[in-house]
Amino acid sequence: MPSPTLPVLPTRIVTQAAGFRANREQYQALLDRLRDSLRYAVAGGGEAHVKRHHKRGKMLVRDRIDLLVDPFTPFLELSPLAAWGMYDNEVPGAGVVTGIAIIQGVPCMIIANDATVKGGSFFHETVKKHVRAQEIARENRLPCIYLVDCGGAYLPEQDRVFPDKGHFGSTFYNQCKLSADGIPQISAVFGGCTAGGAYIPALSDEVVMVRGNARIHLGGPSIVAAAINEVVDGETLGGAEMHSRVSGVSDYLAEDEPSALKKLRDIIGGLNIERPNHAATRPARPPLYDAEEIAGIIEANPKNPYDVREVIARMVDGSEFQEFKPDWGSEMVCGTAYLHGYPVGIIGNNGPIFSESAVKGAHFIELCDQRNVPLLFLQNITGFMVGTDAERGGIAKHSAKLVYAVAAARVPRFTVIIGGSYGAGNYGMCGRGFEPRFLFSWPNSRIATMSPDIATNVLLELRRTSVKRDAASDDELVELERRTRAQFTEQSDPYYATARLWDDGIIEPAQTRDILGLVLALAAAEPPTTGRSHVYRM
Amino acid sequence: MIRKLLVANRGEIACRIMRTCRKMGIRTVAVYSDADRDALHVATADEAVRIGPAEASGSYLNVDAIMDAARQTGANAIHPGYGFLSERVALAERCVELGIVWVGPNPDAITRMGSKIESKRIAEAAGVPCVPGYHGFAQDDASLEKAAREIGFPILIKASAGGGGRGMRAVQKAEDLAGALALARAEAQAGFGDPSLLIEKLIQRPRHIEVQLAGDKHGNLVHLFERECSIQRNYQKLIEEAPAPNLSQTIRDALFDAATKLGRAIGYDSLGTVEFILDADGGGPWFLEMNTRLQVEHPVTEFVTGLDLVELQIRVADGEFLPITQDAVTVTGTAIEARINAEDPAAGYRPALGEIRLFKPPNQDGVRVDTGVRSGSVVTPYYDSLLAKIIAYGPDRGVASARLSASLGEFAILGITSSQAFLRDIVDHPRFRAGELTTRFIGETFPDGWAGQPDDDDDSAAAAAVWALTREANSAAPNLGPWATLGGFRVSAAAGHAGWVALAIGTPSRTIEAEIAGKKGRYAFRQDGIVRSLEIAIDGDRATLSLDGLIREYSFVEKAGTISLGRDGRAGDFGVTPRIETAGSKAAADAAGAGRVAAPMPGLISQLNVVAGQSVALGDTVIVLEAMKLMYSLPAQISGRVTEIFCAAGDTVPSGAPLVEIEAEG
Repeated sequence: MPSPTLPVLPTRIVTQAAGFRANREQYQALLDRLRDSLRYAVAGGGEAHVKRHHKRGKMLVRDRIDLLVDPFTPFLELSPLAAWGMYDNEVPGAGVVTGIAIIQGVPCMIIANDATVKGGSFFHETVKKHVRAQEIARENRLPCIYLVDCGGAYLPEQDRVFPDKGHFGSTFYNQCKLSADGIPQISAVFGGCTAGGAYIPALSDEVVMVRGNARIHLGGPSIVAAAINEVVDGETLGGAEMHSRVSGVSDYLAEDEPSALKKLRDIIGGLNIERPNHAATRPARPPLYDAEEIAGIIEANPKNPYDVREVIARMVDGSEFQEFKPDWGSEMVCGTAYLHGYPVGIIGNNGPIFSESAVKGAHFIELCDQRNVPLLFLQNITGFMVGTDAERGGIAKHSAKLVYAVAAARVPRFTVIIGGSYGAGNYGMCGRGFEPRFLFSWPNSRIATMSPDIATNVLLELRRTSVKRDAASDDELVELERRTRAQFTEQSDPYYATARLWDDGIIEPAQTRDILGLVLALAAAEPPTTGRSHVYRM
Repeated sequence: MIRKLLVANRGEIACRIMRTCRKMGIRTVAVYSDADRDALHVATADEAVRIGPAEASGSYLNVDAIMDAARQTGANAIHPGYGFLSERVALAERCVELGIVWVGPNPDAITRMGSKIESKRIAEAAGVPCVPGYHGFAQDDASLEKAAREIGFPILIKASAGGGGRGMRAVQKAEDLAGALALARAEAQAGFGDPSLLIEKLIQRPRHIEVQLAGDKHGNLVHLFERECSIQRNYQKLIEEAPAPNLSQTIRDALFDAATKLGRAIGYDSLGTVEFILDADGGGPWFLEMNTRLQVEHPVTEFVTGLDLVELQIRVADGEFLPITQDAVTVTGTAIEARINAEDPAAGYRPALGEIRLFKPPNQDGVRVDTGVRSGSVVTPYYDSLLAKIIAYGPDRGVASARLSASLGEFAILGITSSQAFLRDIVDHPRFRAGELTTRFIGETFPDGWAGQPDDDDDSAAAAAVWALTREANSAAPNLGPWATLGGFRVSAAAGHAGWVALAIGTPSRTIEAEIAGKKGRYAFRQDGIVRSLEIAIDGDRATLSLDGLIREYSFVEKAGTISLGRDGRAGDFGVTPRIETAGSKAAADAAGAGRVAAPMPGLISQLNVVAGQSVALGDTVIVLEAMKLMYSLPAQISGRVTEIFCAAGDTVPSGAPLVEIEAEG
């Protein structure tokens, strides 16, 4: 039986046009910056540290991962630019590599310390990235594979690493809870694990240790000497052989790193995990149009709008899109499509959200919820419409319907910020606070309560009308304007966002289809949500 | 009237005979041993009968079983092919007894030509010269010297009781004779207990040329011209051609004259071949022997005469008149045949056994391939090693040679070592192209033996690409959509971090380490820090590889991680293993102590080169392990003394099994 087809989206793009070429040129600069940044991050702690690492017979963290995963399968690395621009940019990737990979045919979450970065110790962003990876593992039921090579909390930052919910303690709490929920937690230890670090392997279901380099001890030789006046070397105190043959803290003794990775594969091969496909998939087909063209479609000036359908046409199978309610509430583009063969309901923006577009979006979400079609939000939103007409039309109530529908939808939701993500529009389009399964940003994206222009106006107005303070001098207002603009410009930059784990990474437009295919495939392993689902026409 | 013909043979000749039968409307019966149940000749025949066990003595040489098969199937003719029972009179006689048509000469001719002494006597009586020699009883120096002078120097002294070259001595001139006789007598006495000597003319540059005869039962006999069969190794013909190059008309006439004289003398009534030797420097031809059967190399004669010799043979056996007269037979163009054997010419022609993973004959104008095997056939140790004959025809010898060379290059024989590349090197040799052929050609052209080309990094890269593409197609991630189809996708790929897959690529002589990344046939290949682009497209068993833009065609087969590749007449097996899969085996060996030699993978102990107590040096090969059809040499990791051996030749061992323990000395 031939697969039914959906209507094909036309394109109006002229690649020879001057505007297109100018846009593309500007976007190329954004891509160059992204690639340069990734190159820096992937290099870890830099040449000297890499050299020392190799000298100890240790492999680089990404080399370990390449060797561990099934040949010719993807590794979907998450937040590679965590901690970007922070700590003098000396903690690339926050010192930990996380991501999803196929090992022995099983999708797994890999959480791997990079010991070339500050000895793999934990900064605030490190724990955040670690906890986020565990959260993804829980949502997608992915076994967690810890490649442990870390020195515990980075002490100068201990107040932002240790005490709070979401800090170091949460990583261990999650480990226990995930394991108890039937999500395997497996560790291989490549380096020293002292104090807190010791509990990553200790709390794992199974542990492999590498002879020579791996250590597990609650207190290292110096603490032992200070505390109980015992003089002992690290290997005797907590070496791989001792733990594998005496204490039983380790279950397997590996002679070298590749052997440890092989042992992990052996363990995973026996996990008894099978992932069914619950989605009504079709054979994947590439889009009709080249995804590289998105770089010329996105307007170099964020104030100039572009048609989100041109982006969708370069993302979905066969550029086919069944658009819902095309002639009503057209600022919000809704429709169903297939992406790498998986059904998906897409919501995109062609302007600010009005009452009509808000309820249209809510309606569409109900449809997808009823039909078990995952939702994809392509955020490019300046916010909900303001003004007398809007308020009198009940925009607050209607936009709340959208926000409610987004929050309450039971199907997996995914978000890509492809442009602006401002104000309540962020909520209505499933921003981070609404816990989409994954959230990625494009290099041109902006995220803030409002744009620098509007923020400046608002703050200047507030200052002028302040009752607590005297009338502002012109100099003060100029300075306020400069400061506000600088703050909003810096903080709405996607690198500022990705550094703080507000997203799961900055990705290139041309990679987006593949990445979305990967995450949709993970979600498809879940059985459909059951129970009544209402479609209230609004 | 032959209705149904039983071919008492196997392999290419059985298939070839059946082809003509089909053309003539004759039904065919194959016979097969247990080893040949799935052989091509069985599939080719209309019916097939099992005649016994794999050993030829109980099957293809079992006259009773063959006669039973003929009775059982109602075959009223038997063709013996060559070899096996073709020149044994027993089968021919049984056929005559039972009124079954014997496709061969009368039994009397077989008997008379079957004896080396008798056949030479008949030849001499018929005025056909044999190699001049002295076989007399008088053994004194004077008699032998007189005989030597009559034969003419140089001569060869042999021990009468000898054989296999022992006690043989070449004497170039008369002055050296007395001394040589004394030494030869002493050697003959010591070696065989008999000092008797014989003397033969020493042929310095021998050529082996034979004449094809065809006779009928009505007294007609013609020759079908000559074949040159000088390219030989260990007396096995490798390359034959017709007509013989660089042969004067005088000698040619002498050959035909001698051959037909002999044929008439014995009333020859079938296809047969009279073999001669002659000296490229002049002298001869001299009669060697007569083969009273179809020859392996008959197709070259078929090409140049336009005749179907098997049809001719069947027709005369059935009593028909020879359909041709001597005047009507002419030679046009040149045909050259090369015999591709399952053997390793780089290792003393060691027989190669096992499955032929891919067998794809060339497709060339003027080229014929006769074979009894196909992809998936298994070469067993029971029979001869001939895989295929490839025969190229051309209007002249140059074209025929070029076509033969090109066809040898195109022929894909994978999974088993064959003489294909060796034959091509012979055909491409300037001396061969010049037609300077003697039976010493191989020894003189390859004085240190033929080695072939060493392994090539490009081919290793090609093997990696084939492996990668196959691996991608068989992803271990079902139900995972793009996880199975996006290859080694990496978010940071554009920033320079591809998803590298570390590989060990092994050939029988070495293992290289390399890495490959990419997807769907477009890869990067990294070896020793150098990255090259590698693209592959496959179409059935053909792969087109582009390595940094250099495009080449390969034939290939992938099976259980072993990639068999063929290109340009060469073939090789590559064991491609992701390094993660062998991780730990080396470490385990190290942990057991550097002195332990352990199996790096499961396999068969092909050679055990040491005994307990023996001293070995670092790097000495102590074991040869056969795994995935490859031979892995396992070296000693330390110098020392062998203290213990945990395996025996022929054992099958698992990965990591300890094989030999070496204790450091001193």
